[in-house]
Amino acid sequence: MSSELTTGRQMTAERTFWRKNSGVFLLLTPVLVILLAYVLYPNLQTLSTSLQLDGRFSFGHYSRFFDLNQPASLEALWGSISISLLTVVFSAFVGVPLAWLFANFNFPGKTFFSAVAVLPIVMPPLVGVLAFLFLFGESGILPRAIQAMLGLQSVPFAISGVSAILVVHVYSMYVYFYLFSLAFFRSLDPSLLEAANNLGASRWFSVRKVVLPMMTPALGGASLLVFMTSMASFSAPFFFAGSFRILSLEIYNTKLNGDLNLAVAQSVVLAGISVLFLILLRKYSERRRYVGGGKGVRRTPRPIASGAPRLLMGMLGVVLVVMLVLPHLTVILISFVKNGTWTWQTLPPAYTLENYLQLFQDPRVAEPILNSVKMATLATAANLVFGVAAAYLLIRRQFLGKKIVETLTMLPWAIPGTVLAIGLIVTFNQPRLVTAGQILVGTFWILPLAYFVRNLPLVFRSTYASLEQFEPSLEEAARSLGADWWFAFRHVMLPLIAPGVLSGALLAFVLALGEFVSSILLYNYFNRPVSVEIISQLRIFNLGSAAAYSVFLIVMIGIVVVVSNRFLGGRSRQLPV
Amino acid sequence: MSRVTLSNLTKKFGEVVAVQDFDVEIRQGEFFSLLGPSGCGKTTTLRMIAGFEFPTSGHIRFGERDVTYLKPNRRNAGMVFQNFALFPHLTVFENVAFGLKARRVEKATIPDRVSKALELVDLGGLGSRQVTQLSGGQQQRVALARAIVIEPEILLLDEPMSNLDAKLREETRQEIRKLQQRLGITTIYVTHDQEEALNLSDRIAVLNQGECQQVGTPEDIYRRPTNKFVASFVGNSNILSGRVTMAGTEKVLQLSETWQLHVPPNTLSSFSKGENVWISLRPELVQPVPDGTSGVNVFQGETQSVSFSGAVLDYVVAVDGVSLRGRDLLGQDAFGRTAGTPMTLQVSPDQIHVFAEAED
Repeated sequence: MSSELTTGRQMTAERTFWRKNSGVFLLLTPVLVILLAYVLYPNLQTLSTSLQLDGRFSFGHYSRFFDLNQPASLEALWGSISISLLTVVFSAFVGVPLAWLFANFNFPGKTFFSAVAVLPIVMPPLVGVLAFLFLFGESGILPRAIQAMLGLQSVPFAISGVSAILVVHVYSMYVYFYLFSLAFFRSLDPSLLEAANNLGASRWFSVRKVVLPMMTPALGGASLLVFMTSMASFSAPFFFAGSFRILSLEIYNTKLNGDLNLAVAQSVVLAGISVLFLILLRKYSERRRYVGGGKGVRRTPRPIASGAPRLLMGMLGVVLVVMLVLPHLTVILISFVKNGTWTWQTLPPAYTLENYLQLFQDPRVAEPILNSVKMATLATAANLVFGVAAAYLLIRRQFLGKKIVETLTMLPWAIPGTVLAIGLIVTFNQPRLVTAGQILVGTFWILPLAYFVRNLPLVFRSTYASLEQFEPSLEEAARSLGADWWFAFRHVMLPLIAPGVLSGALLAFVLALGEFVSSILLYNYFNRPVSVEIISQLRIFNLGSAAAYSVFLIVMIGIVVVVSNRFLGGRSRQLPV
Repeated sequence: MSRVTLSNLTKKFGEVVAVQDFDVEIRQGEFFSLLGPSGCGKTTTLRMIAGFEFPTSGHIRFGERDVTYLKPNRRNAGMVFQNFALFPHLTVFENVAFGLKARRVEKATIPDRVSKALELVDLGGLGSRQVTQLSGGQQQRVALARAIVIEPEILLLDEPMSNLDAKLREETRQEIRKLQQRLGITTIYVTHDQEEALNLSDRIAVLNQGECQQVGTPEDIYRRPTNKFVASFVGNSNILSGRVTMAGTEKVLQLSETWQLHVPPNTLSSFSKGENVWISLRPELVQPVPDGTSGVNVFQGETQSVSFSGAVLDYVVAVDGVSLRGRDLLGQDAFGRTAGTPMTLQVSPDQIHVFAEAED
């Protein structure tokens, strides 16, 4: 105890500083090293590569980007922006009314429908695209069914090109509008509308002058989020774009054509737009929300009791469910199709269990799954370690450079997958200090690294949200009861934040399992993941095998969703806004 | 059980001084309150005693032991938090047992000690409940049991009543006091509620803007405030400005052109003639008397307002243009009077306090 008896005040103050901060340095150093080496460095490398021509500073690659004589890049930029704007508009038209219905009315099966409504968000983009191809494509089930029914010469409709991309985008992104609007409608104080009515406003007047203005933050946030997601979208353009140019895909094509420098310049432009929108989004979500904690009457959804509207709602619900579930069902159906048998028929003629059995019989078939599981596990484990450490530091400790750590951790979220992969290529296609002099590109490790970087914001964010809700006095209570930091961490903080952290990590794990965009740019034969194998199987028309791999991804996601909702409370915020 | 000594305790957050040169010795077994408005530094002081904040300078001792920079888990100070800070994932039993487990107390003795602590706060038999299922009052008792089961040297209470409703507060207050006396544990209690502090404490320190204003027994604080802040913060007071003048050979307080207040000679012995002063006057010392009464400090005033609050009658009366709050404990003489009617009142001279004007 004599060490506690102090003599010089100066000495004590210094020792106190170290005692209070040694933990911070111990945690901060590895977090910072990882962030600088694997998040910041590749992005800086991308930027500097884009500004170098023959070893000298130059805007040469950018003048090629904006060259009106070779307008491919500009076309792609314009294509991305226009498709994204359309996606925002159509997603809003689907998502907002749906949220309004769910917030204001009770109808049979509502709980089920509202669970189904968010399904698209958990569908891996690649699998969604595949499903739409099977369903609505040139040789899709629906167009052919209508053709057969009506005895037409050719299919009456089929999605392709821009329309196909839009349909897939709206299918998967309307959910953002739905969720944002739902939250808004649920928290809207009905007494405001009552006040408007009381002051003589008609219903339409109060919607225009009260509801809509108050809703702008929610709508703005959703619009920006959808726009960003759509700009980064890769899978839908990959399948459907055809000759239409889209920037995220153009980067991939340029790189395949061997013009890495132009691909890098294109990446910087795309990343620039995304980061700009992230900044806008942050500004928007920091703006004061109008929805206050008023005490008034609780908003209770009105039941729809009368015949006709009830029937209408019921039908609408059924249509909705069919639309939302059909893609999943289609993929499951196709997974039982015998490879090479489905050609001109409306529905596949021959079914088999072979596609699944092969997973157990043929090591080459199981290999992509094993690869994906292995790489996703590694990436998620790293995400857990660094995501949790970064979130803990940011919430519970004061230190210089907090803002830097937060920005770096969230940066990969703003950077589209294509750009991220290009960054890893230009950085790790040569020996680097941070890889101990190894070339990572072409090795097994580049993919786990890509998955780690991509999902870092997600795990960070879900941990951050859990920690935010964690009452600091709980830790203090534990300390005052005699617990040291480690005991308090294990027995109080960990059990309380574990559900949020775990559901974030599980989501990161399944996203890594199905990750497509960075995989297709970075894989090699020996670490080829499930998503790449799906493409390979499609190329050789093994539709059944491709679908079986897809079902594996859907099932994994289903398990994660159920586990998160049932066992982990499922209320942690996953959307990193 | 030990005494707690704070010497020159100072805490700065950047440029903001939260606590300034706080010096006090809290005696063994004493119930000691830190009283003051929000932002006065009382919670910061308590957090330094608990070890959640380290002082910028100064020392904290438990008995002879210097704990200034000791980690909170090495201090052996039980604490009840404002929001109770019960661990929501643990049962009542596990919450109370937490401190014993953290101290690696022999496992076999834990159940016994926990149930004893729970019985002490009248929660015997509720051990298996989830803390989230308990009422606010019960949660507060769990927090108390959790803090005392570790047999702390001192007990720290951070506004533990502020989350309870008014009636429950009254009951809980008495129970806390009884428990504290039974255990004989040195207790430091933080509150902004002066009634609570007066009611519970052996001694009180009144804090304002980081500085200790007065340390004393509840009676000291109420009857003999040492400055204007204490006089106005603890209980109700009329704070009037006046001047010391002479009426013959006697020093009196001149409140207006014509209004002179007589006070015992020693009240004004330290003030000189012509000095401007603050005068603190408790409302209950301003009593209505029947019209026509004569005597020392009897004045004519005009009733400005009367409000009925059950046991007492509060009124405001203007004497020569100076508004004065009065409290009629008998609830008779001012009753029925309405604003604008004249009132005769008498000011009892014994507990008038006078402070130099320079002080504020």
